[in-house]
Amino acid sequence: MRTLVIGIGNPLAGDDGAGPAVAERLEDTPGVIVRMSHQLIPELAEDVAAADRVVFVDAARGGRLTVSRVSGAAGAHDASSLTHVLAAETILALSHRLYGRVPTAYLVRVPGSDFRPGTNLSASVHRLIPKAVAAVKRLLLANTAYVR
Amino acid sequence: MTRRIVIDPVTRIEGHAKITLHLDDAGAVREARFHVTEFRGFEKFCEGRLFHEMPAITARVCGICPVSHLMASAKAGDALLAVTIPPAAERLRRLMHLAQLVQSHALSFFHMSSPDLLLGYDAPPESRNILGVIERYPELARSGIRLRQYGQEIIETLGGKRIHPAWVVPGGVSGPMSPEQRERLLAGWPEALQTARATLEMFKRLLDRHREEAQVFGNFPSLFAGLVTPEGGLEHYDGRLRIVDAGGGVVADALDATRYWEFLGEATEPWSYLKFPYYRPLGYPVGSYRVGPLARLNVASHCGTPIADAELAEYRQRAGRVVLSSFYYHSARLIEIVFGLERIGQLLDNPAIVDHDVRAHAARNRHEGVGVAEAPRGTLFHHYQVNDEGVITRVNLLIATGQNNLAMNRAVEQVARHYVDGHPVTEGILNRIEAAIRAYDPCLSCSTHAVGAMPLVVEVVDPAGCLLQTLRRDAR
Repeated sequence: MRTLVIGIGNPLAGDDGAGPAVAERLEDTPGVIVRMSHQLIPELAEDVAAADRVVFVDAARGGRLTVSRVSGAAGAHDASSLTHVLAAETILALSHRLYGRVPTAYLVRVPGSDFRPGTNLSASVHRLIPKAVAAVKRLLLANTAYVR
Repeated sequence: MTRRIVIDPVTRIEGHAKITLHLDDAGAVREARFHVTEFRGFEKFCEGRLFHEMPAITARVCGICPVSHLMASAKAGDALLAVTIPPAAERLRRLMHLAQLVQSHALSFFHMSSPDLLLGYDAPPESRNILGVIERYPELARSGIRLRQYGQEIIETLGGKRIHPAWVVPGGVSGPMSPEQRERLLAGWPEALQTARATLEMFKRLLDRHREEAQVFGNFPSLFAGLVTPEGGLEHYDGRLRIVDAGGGVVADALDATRYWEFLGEATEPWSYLKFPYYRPLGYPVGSYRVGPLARLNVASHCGTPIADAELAEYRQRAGRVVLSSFYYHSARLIEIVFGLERIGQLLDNPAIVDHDVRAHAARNRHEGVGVAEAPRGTLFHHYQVNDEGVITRVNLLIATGQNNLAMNRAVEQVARHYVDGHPVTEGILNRIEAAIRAYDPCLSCSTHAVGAMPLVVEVVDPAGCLLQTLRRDAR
């Protein structure tokens, strides 16, 4: 089973680097392909379509460490903005409409508190990184992949 | 009664921006402002780092045009070393730089602007997006992704798969290209060029549908600035800076861009954290200028490749020798994609692209260095000062989106005045205001050095400062 882990965020922007930090720790995991990206960009849809399962790992402002299912059904709503950012849902929808495949997808959100320029993660994010990695590994153990 | 309208769109990566429309008693737009409301000191963060690290560090400012920062930073490093890089290194840098131009412009056109251009500015927002484009024009959408993939393939071939390749270094590049890599990139080139040409042809057929937008989307006289070759042609990696006026007159030519402070000033406004660069001899705001694809085609006498030159001639026949409407940034971007691919083909065709001498080694020989390149969005300046050990003591980054700051404000004002008439602002009007900014393809992460999970907002305010309407577009 091919699992794609996408670490989203900027490692130079404090806790925004949480996603890449988690993804980095999964690079040597068998069956896992890791990509890291400042933000989600359209061509990632092809990588997503080639996977059986996708885990997006992203920083969040506040809240708790959460793992949730993501579907491509709601992806039509983040269009025509002034920014270059796409949502995970949109990438899944692109995968579906361009390549006819949508893998099972999850979003792991790691709550951050300090997004100022810098390569250091805050202490709270540091503590959460192993938990986030464990959460992704639990997803890898679950045989939940399907392709629509 | 005064009224105010604010548009506030932002995302976690690209800073916090807001548009405010101030209305007069009659409900007409008196003033419009594009604010950036958060600022973070990325330049300060760089102090204390070794200048050799700067290309890799500054490339992380932006997820969309990291290669531009790599180039400008490495060129500043070349200046600190006081070296001329080997010819093969320059060819490889140019190749990567043009690949990013293609990739970045493709993102702007296909994924950000094509929903407006193909589906209409008044199309329902739930379908006016890239997924809506796929529904109606699936092959075009695939083409956009393939173009981006070709640019990315070149970047990854040279720099590796990491998002911020450290392959471009002060003194050149860290390794040559292999013959096999060259062959692989050549194999993908014909399709990329064909896709770019087909897209440009399609866009030309669409232009008549958008005559009104072409008239009011930031259509005003200004100066234009950009690098040109010694012959005055289109240039992205090196060259001298040329500034022309709205009538096409050359205001300044052959400026040494590495001494930018002698002719460029940076004004500030209390309502924006973005700086407002201007051409110093004319003062602020008269000396404000535009950069980016539109400006580059205005300052250049020619492109220097056959297909792009033919397209440039046709573009000028339609829009004029100096094009003032910011709507035509879209056309200019597509012509630059064609140009970029033609140049990529020329570079790859040259067997010398695989030469092995790609790096000049030296110790620090200067305490100050400036690197300048044309990023997809316009001229990018990196200015470093270092101590004897090569540790950065001061950084100044002059970013394309900042240089277009005043122009974006004027574009917002022009569009708002044209469409806002005292009635509630509709989604279609809001979208046109955004689209006027989108034409510049601003990258707020560079300009503001900011990150943060923020929405996008527009506010309408009356003459007494009372908020009449808020339109919010949550990006995530």
